[in-house]
Amino acid sequence: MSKSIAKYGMMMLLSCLFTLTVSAQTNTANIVRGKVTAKEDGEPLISVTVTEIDASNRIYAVTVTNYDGEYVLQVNNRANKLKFRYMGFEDLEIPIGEQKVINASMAEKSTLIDDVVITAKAMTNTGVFNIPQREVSMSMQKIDAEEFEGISVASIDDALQGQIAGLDIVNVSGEPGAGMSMRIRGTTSLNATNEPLIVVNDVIFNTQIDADFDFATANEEQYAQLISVAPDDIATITVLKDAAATAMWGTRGANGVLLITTKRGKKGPTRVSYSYSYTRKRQPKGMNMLNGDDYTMLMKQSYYNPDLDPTASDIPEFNYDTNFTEYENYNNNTDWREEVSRIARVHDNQLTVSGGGESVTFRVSAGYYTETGTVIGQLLNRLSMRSSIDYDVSKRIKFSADFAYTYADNDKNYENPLGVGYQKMPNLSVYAQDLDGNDTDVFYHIRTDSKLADAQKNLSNPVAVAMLARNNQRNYRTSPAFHLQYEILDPQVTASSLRLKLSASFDINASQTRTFFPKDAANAIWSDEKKVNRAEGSDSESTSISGDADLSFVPALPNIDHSVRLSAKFNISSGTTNSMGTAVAGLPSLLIQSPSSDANAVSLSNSSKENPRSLRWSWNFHYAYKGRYIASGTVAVQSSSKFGKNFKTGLFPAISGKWIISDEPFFGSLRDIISEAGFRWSFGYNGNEPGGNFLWLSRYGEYPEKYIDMTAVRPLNMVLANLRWEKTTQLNGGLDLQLLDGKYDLGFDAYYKHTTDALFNNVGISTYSGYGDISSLNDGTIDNQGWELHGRVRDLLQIGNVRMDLSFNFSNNKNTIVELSDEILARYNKDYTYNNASYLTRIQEGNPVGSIYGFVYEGVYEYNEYDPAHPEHTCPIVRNENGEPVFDAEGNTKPMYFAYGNSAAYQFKAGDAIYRDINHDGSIDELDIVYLGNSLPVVTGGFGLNFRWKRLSFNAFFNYRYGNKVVNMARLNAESMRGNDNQSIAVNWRWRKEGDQTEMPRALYNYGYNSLGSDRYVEDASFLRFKYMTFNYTVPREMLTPLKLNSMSLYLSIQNVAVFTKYTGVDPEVGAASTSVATDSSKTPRSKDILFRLRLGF
Amino acid sequence: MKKTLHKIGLALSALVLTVGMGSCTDWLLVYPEGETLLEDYWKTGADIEKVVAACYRSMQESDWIVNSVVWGELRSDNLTAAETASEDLKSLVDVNILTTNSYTNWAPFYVTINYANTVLHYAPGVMEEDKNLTLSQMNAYRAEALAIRAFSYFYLVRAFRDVPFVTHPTIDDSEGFNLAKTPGHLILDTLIMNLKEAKLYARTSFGASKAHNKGRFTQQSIRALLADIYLWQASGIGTDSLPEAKAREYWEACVKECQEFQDYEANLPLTAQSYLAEIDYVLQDVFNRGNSPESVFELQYSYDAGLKNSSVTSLYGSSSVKPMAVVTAILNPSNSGVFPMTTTDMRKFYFVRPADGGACNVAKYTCNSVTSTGDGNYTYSTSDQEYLNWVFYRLADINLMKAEALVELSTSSSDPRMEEAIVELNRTYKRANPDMNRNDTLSLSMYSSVEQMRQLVLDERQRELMFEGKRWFDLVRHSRRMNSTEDLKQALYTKFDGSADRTLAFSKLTTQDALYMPINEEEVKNNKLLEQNPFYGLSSNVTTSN
Repeated sequence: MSKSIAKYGMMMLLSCLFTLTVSAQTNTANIVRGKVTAKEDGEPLISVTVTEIDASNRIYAVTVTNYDGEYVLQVNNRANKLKFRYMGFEDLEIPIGEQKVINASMAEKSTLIDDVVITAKAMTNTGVFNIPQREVSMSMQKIDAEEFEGISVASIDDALQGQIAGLDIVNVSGEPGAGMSMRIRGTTSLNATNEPLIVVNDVIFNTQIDADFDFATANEEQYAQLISVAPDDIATITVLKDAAATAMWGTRGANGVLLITTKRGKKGPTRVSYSYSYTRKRQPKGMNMLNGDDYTMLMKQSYYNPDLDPTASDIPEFNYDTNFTEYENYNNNTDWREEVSRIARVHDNQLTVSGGGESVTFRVSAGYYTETGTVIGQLLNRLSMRSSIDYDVSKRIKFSADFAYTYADNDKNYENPLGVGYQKMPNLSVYAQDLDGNDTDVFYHIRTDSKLADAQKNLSNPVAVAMLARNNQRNYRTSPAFHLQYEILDPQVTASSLRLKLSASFDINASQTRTFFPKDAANAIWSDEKKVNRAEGSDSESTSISGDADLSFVPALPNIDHSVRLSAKFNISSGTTNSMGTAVAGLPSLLIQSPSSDANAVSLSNSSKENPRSLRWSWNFHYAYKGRYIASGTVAVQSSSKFGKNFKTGLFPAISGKWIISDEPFFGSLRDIISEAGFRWSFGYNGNEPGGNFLWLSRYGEYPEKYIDMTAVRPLNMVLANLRWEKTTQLNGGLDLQLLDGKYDLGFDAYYKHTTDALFNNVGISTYSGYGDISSLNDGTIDNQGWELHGRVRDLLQIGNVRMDLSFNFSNNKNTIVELSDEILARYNKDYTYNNASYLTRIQEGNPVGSIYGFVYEGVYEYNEYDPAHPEHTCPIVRNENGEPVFDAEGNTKPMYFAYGNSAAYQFKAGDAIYRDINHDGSIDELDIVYLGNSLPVVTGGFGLNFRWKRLSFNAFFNYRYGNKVVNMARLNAESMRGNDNQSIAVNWRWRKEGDQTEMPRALYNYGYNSLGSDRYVEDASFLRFKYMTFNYTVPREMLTPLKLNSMSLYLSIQNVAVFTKYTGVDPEVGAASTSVATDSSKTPRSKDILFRLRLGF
Repeated sequence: MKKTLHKIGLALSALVLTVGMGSCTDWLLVYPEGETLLEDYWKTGADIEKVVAACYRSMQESDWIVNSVVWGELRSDNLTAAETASEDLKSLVDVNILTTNSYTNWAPFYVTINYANTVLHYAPGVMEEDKNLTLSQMNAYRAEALAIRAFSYFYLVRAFRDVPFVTHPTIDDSEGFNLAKTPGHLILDTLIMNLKEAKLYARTSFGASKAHNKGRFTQQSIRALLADIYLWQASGIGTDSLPEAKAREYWEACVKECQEFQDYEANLPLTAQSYLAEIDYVLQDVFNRGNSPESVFELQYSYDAGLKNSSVTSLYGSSSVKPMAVVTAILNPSNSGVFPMTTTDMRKFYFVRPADGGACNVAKYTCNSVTSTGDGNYTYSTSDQEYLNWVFYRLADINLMKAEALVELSTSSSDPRMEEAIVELNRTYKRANPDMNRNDTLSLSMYSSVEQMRQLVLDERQRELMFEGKRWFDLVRHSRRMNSTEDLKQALYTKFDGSADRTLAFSKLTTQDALYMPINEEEVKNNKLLEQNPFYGLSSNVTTSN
């Protein structure tokens, strides 16, 4: 089956090429000349396209008339016709015959076609049909790339943030090359991917993710990937939200679909445009950290406090003792955050050439993007190219080819220097200092025999790591695609259309990671095998091939009240993924940084090869009666190699309808206010598949080592006979509204998404089975429901020449875990660990994912003893429901404990954190843990304002998330006062002696429970970000003529202008992995940028 | 041209519209490379042997060996956790074993059991596929698998007492993986039955290869395992309310197994060499070179096979690795300790090696020779071998197991079996005490009662088999039989030097249930029918319900 398709495809391709060669042949004798004039006034017409065509409208020769309306054309066959074509005039065809001179006189078109007809023809591509915009019955939203022209983004998802209702995009990190995390209508899956499917020019854009990747707990940074389509190349983006719109994507549509179409060439003279932009990025200042002197004071107290023992705090590193050999290295005030930060610069060059004649159009673009990160050691270089050619072989055959190439070279940090910068002791010097306190050229590392806490002692010098260690990632991606479109019915004979479209697309993606950690970047000795002079490399290569056949039929019905479109699609796809990783350590020299040097190979860490395959059929219809009763439907059938025999094939039906009530006769004069109103509804199924291949097979593999001399082979896995796809049912209701002749354009949607057979990865099972876990299983039900509103107001304000547009969107999503089996719940919900800085992770039926649980923080105990004279003093004693002390038989108060009766038991003292004893049992333990909020926002969205005044325009865009909570782990770590890590200046307000009234507990080195997971660090991360403001000035044409330029635009843009939030961390934009809570752990924040851009057209 | 296109177009359209799903299913069957599928496996006798090899190979996993030694030795009075050892090991030594302790992980043993079950499940079917495979060859593989499975379960029963007992392999996810515990003594009864069958079919020898003969289960090693299980079953007399008569049956069966063993290899290497050379021989040949004549069953590591024995190195250290287990004061040669009556016992110098700061390290597996400097001091030559075999059973163990059963069978001090036991005991004792009168080192006159003899067997086992993963199980077996942990606590008295620790530890060790390990918390969570072991069910770590 696949072979036959390939064979036919090849034949089609060959025949096209053949046609091309034929058309290139010429006959030198046949020259025709003439003059073209207008019928009305006889004036010569300039730039009229003159083509030689045959009976089936294939084009053989082309030319255009000159200033005097004259042309000369060498024709191929005198049996052909000449066709004259000019904007605003009727086409004219004249048989050539034996004529040498053919003068033409062209008639003007009747200009009765009015605006109404044009608006009615606004078409939209649903991924299946090109149908009138107003007939779209599914939930989808389209955005033109022009909307965010002039801002600088590495990837289009950044520009999309806040633009589409129901699409929640969260910045993963401010580092160059870090992607964004996207959610369309909430978290549907706990374990499989939640990222929407991205389709570029009808071809699935595969993001590469390891099969054993754990979506439930992984940081999104690990899988967010740049969409390697240069933002300048994008024409439109359509976001498909409901199941009716996404059903045809079968098992991959459950998370919604992003349809991206790129710009293509237009008929006309060749145009060259060049744009350059320069961006200056500055990192916002995060927490203020202690300087070396304050830090030393804190450490002294921290060591003394647990046992009130002065000798405990006799640590040479904090003594300012000049006799200490390392003294000069420990008497500094280093701002590590400052040391690793810098101003980043981005240069973005983009060159585009486009144009085309009657039969061929093309567009070629090339871009070079380079960005230095806001943290030292980061550098991203990216080269991208994209070309597209459309060739009308004849009226019935159209061929197009797309070719995209991206090369990215990304130098990343080996470790997160900013994170380390927040922890590193500030009294330490960056470089080793000599006895006079002068910096040498050697990085300073804490000596391994130091008595400091291991966590601090072994913390790398972030400057050294950023400068010396290497973490380079290279990515090459090539994606060619070929399309052939054939009108089976001759459009000149019948008005019905039967069109076959064949596509073959390839996606070849190779990436390479090389890391090296040198000895000079750490305090470890070189023989410390595991850690230093360690080189790691991983290579992966994936190739996917996809073939599509698409047959669509639009019959011309005698009764024009009915309109029907039918289509059948078939997709075959296959891919291979190879990956391999190696690591070596203890390399003898810094010069050898290659992981392939086998001297000290630590491991051939992994090697894998996979080739998933799938087949998909879909049958679609679209029907409209009188243009106001609309129904659409899809049935998709997909088979995948990832599943066993019983579950190989899945059926995904969907149906939708629309009623345009405003077209009803009874609507009458209401139409003056409501120019268009339509109700939509839809219902359908989608799927989501697990990451792993071969899970349904029982595989036997060799141990790498033998036993004695016997090869040892054992079963590698258990057969997952019950594995099937995660199924999502979605119900959508919507309303499209246009008021006052399109001035107000509103769309409202409400939806209910019901996911069953949710996928769970690596579910622990009883090990008596011989296995630790089941790699994937289906269990449970998750619901998402919500509403979305998006709108646009044209010319909201109009004062003189100033016009203002407004666009806005709101979306709300509520996630609920409806049902999970007891086993899954028990396996997911770990017991409370009694550790500081950890939040209990729980999944509970009836609650949403991302729920945060912890203690309630109530300040700091002022006194040790209860003083009856001052009952208002806080002291660590047991109190009853009314807040009165509980006395024992002898009339003494009872002490307050943490985890009483457990090995972690601890008696609270003055200066310790007060946690609310919910059950008044005198012990703070897991029974006092309460629900503290959720990581998911209540409302997200954005709004933009657009002002235009003559040639100057101004855009401002805001995005927001409201109602989500974030665990500010960065602050927790900076206020815990438990180890040797640096702390924020907030700890200067710490409790120091009895009677101190403060919210900040005392410093306790490695002791106590002052930083338990409590509401103290759970913050409301609602924010409103002034995302960008852009000024655009288009230079008048008159000024450009002397410069031989066609167009020139200037842009000035300020990005991340301001953030309005109560959140105390550096950036409230923190996403959550599917089952864990949103945690801010001092990632590189989103920078504040100033951009200047120049765009020239030749 | 145009017509052709037209035809192709129509043909393709028809294809798109009408093609059924059936024709493409084959295309969707994608198989992994470099691996074999179940459907293509189990075709020849060689396939069986490879999975049998995997059973042994799985026992070489670090967790397998380390856990078996931690369960069998670290909890005893022989060893304690080094300063640098993990918190989990330290709290285990302190009898403060939480259900989260990593040493409660029994998974590596079940991996082996699953492989053995896989062999037992598929091997008979291979007969149909491979006509060259004879019934006796197939049964020999089955015998090995039965023995490996029994051996793994025996560790689990000794460490946890009652555990889930499965005898079928896990092939797919159709079952729920919830299974209750089977009482340990019932498991062992089944194992005895299995081993009796295995003994019938097992190979007596794998030819000239010492590695195969010592590294795989033969009739001889199955006898050793059976004898060990009989001893354990008989000790149920105290706790499993085993009738006296039944216990005697087990002891007799044990003696019979040992006797069979000795009859089969009558030329006992234990007495073959001169005295002083002998103890050095034990150190060098048995533990360092491996596959000595004295050896019965040991796990094979070799440079050629490619796997290092990191378990032994991590436990007992090497010249470059710090050990996680160090010798307790009681075995320190500078203390009188465990060798009260035997100042001449050379084992205290040959099995234990002084380390920095007056402490002692294990010399077995880490030293290749010991030389007397003549003034009562010894110099130790430490080796850094990475491919040492791990010895599970050796002849000395057989002698002492036999002695133990004989003593238990004795009804009075004049019972002839007492004399027989003394003979067995002297085999190991004599070679370690070269300076004593060879003909009369241990005599019945000095150990006139059954109780005294019982203690002597316990002591001799400790002296001879120290650090081989046996001592704690010996103490538990003794406690079970006596239905009291008093002797065990007595033995551990000096290990807990800090008096507070001792009080706490002893208060826990009063109950027999505390002698077993808790089941890992994850395990209880993942298996609905699994109950925590009795002593640990009431720990403070109460799981809260939703």
